[in-house]
Amino acid sequence: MPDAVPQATALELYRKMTEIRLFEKRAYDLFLQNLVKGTTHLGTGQEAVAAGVSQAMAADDYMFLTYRGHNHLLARGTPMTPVMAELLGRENGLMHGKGGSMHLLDASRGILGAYAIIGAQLVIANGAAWSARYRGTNQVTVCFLGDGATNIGAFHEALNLAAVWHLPVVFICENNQYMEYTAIGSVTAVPRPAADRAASYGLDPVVVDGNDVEAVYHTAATAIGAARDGGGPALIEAVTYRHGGHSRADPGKYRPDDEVKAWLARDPLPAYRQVLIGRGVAEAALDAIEKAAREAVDRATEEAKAGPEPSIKLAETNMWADGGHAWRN
Amino acid sequence: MDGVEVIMPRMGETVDEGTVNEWFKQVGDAVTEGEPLLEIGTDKVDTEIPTPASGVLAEIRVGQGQTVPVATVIAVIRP
Repeated sequence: MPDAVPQATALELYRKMTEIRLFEKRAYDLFLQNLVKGTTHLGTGQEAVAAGVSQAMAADDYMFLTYRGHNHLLARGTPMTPVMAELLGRENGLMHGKGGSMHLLDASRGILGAYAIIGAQLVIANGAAWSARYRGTNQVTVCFLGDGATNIGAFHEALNLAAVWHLPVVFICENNQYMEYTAIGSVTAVPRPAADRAASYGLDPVVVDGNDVEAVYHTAATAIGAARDGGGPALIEAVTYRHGGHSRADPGKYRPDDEVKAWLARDPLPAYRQVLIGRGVAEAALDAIEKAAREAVDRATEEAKAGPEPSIKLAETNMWADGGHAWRN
Repeated sequence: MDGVEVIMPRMGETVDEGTVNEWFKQVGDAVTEGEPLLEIGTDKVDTEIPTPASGVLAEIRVGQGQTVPVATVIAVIRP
């Protein structure tokens, strides 16, 4: 059992998880008010994975996300306002309102995209990892995937090539038990969709409690450190649970009540709060973090709502339509 | 204070209307933010809608079984 993280780090983890939780709650409320354009996939219940992994990354490392990616951007430090504005399809959004919830990207923080095609990001993450090695940097690429992606061909292709090329890439499977509306266990040949396949690529099977933020942090730090030191790729299975449905309109009624109840009792946020209080952190300090997060979400909501709808001129931007071929090189 | 309006949400980009399947609360009932207030149905999905604010359910404007366009005010909650 590794040591507890320093208190400053612990409070940072708690702050990130709290901000994500409140942001996602607000995103759902705004959806019910018909202000969110397109669909959204919330990561409520899975905050510890995004927060723990982000904390273990270096500033210039790369990150690849799934369409359930709000959590990870916020954990990596992308400000709330452009993310919220992007959900609302406004011009002050991260991609000027052109991408929406499923296609978030923040290259300034090494976040090379959220991918709506299941498994597509894994092979592209290999490219980023290969580029870091080619350029002689020591950047590590972290690539998130869902449990369902382990049953996609690209998972095998990417894991195999990452191992063959010994790439500095860490794949994090967020096993939230459901691929859309289907229990992962009912359509998968092995009980642990990622870990039980690791041996196929000569990798160790790594499973971590995805609702324990410090366990996630330590596990990710070990894998990222090894990849940075030339140890090659890793595959981590973080076991967690999606509190809500698959997407905004899904009530998630296909899940047994007992199962939902048992996982809600293991909610990573109150659990971590109790851990911190047990270590002597003042409740007032945690309350202050929650208050600040609530205010930040309120502020981001107002700033996002104040953003203009995208102007028609934006339709002609980001198109590579100048007829040249310089972008290929 | 006009209270908080509950509107018919858009449950999909191509969904333009929704039906009130069932109210779980009646006019005059105390309601708590987050608890299920009603179930709506569309051609895509039936889903529960949580109460947007705590208070008293002051008005129900769209009754059980009625279908209305998205964004229609279906209820009002007052503090």
